[in-house]
Amino acid sequence: MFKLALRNILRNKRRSFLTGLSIAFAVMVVIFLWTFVSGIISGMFNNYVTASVGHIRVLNADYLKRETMLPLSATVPNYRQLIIDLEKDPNVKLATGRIKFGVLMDTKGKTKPVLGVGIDPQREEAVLGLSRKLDSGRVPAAGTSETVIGAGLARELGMKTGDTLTVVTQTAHGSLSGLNLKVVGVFNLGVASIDNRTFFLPLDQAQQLLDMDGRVTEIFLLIKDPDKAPQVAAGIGKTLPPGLTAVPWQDNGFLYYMMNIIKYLYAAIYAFILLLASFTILNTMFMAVMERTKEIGMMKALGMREGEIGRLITLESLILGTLASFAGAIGGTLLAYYVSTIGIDYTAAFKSIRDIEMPLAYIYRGEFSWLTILFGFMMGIIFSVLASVFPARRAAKMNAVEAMRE
Amino acid sequence: MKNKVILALLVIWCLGSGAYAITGEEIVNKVDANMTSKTSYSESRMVITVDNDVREKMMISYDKGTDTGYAEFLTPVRDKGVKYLKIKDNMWMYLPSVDKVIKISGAMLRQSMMGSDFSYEDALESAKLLEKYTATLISTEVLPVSFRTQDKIEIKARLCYVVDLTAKVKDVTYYRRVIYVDREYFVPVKEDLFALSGKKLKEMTMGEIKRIGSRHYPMYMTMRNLLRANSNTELFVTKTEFDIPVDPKVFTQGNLTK
Repeated sequence: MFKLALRNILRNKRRSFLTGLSIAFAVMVVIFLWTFVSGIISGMFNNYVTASVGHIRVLNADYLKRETMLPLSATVPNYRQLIIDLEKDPNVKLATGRIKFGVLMDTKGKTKPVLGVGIDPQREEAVLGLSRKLDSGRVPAAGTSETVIGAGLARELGMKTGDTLTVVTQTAHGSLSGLNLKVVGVFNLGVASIDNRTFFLPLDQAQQLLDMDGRVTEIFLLIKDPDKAPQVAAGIGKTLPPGLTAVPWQDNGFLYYMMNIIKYLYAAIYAFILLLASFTILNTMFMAVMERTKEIGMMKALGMREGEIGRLITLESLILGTLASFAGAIGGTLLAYYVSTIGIDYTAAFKSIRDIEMPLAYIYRGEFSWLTILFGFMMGIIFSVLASVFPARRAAKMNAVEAMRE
Repeated sequence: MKNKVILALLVIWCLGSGAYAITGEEIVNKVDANMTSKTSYSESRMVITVDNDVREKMMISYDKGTDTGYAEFLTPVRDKGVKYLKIKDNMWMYLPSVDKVIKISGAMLRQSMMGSDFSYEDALESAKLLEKYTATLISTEVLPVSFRTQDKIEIKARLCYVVDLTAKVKDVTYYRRVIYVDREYFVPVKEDLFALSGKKLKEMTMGEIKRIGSRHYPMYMTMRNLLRANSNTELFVTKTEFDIPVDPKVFTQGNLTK
């Protein structure tokens, strides 16, 4: 029967090719869009998480109340020991100290609030991964007065690698303090709100500048399962010295709210893509089998039983669907690979709205996943077979003469 | 005892008559005359205490008249070489770490100076009070005041004028100030600073009054910014000289970057 099915498919090459092509195309589109959309979601989440809220942050409770003011008076003391203790927790992947502070800078006569972030350059490689996100230069080394500044900020300040960035700000104790930093690199995280107003400097330099020896404004944690952050944070909270608190990313109202909306929005988009693709496959397959009513009538006249005809048509659909879905999956994989490595550049589109405070990227990259590809492939086969069952049975049930007359 | 009786009688007389022999304005002018000189030089130690954190800074300063001054910090290491210059209503700060002169203006004036309980504004507006405030002598009060003679510090009960200064305009940080002035030496011994709402913002006391030449001068000052929890700044004047020759170049911006 397999041989017969194969022969049937090959007999009308043009019809089989066209049917297969639309199935392949539908599969390819599903894989591509799915990859792209999940890439946008997880990219947004990752950018926001690694740059600002972490999975969990350990903060001074007073700091939390006035966080928008970046108060340096409410800090986390003795952070080195705390990091060692926090990393003993089996749920914690990584802990690192950060200091965030505000600086006013002159840009073409205008005063612009800029965010300075003191980081541990080595540990942050696993979080921010600045070395992979540089437009030019390198990452600052600990213990040196070096800085890496955002691409947007560099443009606004008219600065490039090798220039000196003068930072004047208030220390944790309220006096003014200054530091000359050598710009050793320009980074581009691809997030407008960060690239346009942030510079990173080694933590020790920030501590020196702000008179905050041994202190940080927050300890940034990445944990193994981000969805369990509230439970892990509650557990960590109990072990912290008095005055400190652990905040899971879900407590960041903006991000949580946004992620929820986005999840629903994209669930709707997924459903829509799936619906379109399945409709295409169903339609094509349905037409292909309907077209063969005459042929089916002939088979019946030649003595084939109903069940046999039904099975034959289903088998044909299975073979054609599998071959087409496979081709579609290959095409989809190539597209998914492209969109997840090179991405689609929206820089030009974002030029006019560069200052938006959203964790949006200039370049969208998909999230490559074999599961998505397998899903697309299976979907193609299942819908192909499903689409053939009804017309095949209908034709098989028909009187041979009637079917041939159609 | 006899003194106290006379004093009490004096107070009753003053209050009873409802009129003093001196006006609030005259008192403020006399304080200015006592506290400022053509030129002066001083060395002082600033002790800033916030909770259990104590920071000590040494500084020298030159003053000319009521509105020109220069200060330079000598210690600690992180503040060494930080210089301030004030001329009239302008103030500049020099930060040696970035070799930069910063003009202190706008909202910054109300911020803490060197992490102390003093704001830049507090340092600027010393004199000229009568331009912005109406002075009224409201009462007299006996306060404990410390005096310094040689190395001895003595606390005496002193009769003080209580002068109320209410702003003529509303755009001042301290809408009302109450100054307690030693009646004999015209040295301010205490000052309370209030916001427009009536909330007390700062509390300053002065003491260790020392006789220098013909004038009496407080060698110790403490300021508490009540908006900062458990915060207190003390200023110990270790050396001071009046009407000495000072190179006019000291009060120039060029001197800041030197």
